Amino acid sequence: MAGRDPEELLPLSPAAFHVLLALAEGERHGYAIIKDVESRTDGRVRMGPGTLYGAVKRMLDEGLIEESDERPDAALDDERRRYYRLTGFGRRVAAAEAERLSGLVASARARNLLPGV
Amino acid sequence: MRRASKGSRTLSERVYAALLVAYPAGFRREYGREMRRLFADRRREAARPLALPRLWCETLADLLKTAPVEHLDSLTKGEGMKRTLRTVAVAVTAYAFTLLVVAPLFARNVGTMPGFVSNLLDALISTGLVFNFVYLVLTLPRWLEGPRAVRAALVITTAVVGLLITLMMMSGGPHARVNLLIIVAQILALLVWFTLHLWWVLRRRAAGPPAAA
Repeated sequence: MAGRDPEELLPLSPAAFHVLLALAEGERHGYAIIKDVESRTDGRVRMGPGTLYGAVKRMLDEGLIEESDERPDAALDDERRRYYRLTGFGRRVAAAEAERLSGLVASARARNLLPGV
Repeated sequence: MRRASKGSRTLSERVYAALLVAYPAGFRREYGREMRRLFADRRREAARPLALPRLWCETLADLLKTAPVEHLDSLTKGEGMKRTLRTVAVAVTAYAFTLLVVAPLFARNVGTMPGFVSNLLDALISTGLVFNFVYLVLTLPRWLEGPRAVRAALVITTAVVGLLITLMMMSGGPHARVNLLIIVAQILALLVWFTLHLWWVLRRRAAGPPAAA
């Protein structure tokens, strides 16, 4: 994946970007991902199982994330859950998408659609 | 929607597990267990009043939105596209051949055939059209796969053929008297199609795992 251009995959779907953001802090299982998304968006985004695992499937196919064999704490966690983590390529794609969105927000600000800084 | 017993799945969880049939079989195989677990986690946190109806509304909306996407994905991506095109091409060819060549030939020569042979050929054509159509409907969008799909096709086709025979008997028309030979021929034809499909499915399974959906 090292040779691939992250721009090829942009724009990401909102679900995919949310999952990448959740995994940017470390590996997580499905439930932890949707709880992270919920808490970051003050409960405005509640991902269902189909949305989450549809996005997970496509991101695994694209090499943005990978399944992890390690368990953060086997004693505290259910080892039968599947954990996912960002790949290096996934991190670069997430950064490129953040940059793209940041540019859009800057344009919106320039046209007085958002409160100025 | 309360827990039936400790350690058992709730009614909501069982209903959700059953609804997962809306997704392609490959997707269910890969993520079905995780999706059921996620729903169970969600259900456990839905303790407040109206939380469970809200969860169900969100879950059904999620299912209606994402199941068609996954079907489209499995039909059009990579090996899925090749498999879909191959299956549709084979089905169209087989149906065209049956309706344009086999059925007219049979109709022209039916008078010269011994009774049971004509009954059997008639049954093979009619149940074949229904059985293969049902099998195609079940397997093309990956609702079911393998022996399960063959068994389901047998059950549905038997029901359809049984219904048609019953309607024929009740109609009182010229074919109202359905004799035993016709029923035996229909049963034999159903078994022939069932065995052929089962043999094909098991042969493919022995050859290797199915292409990823």
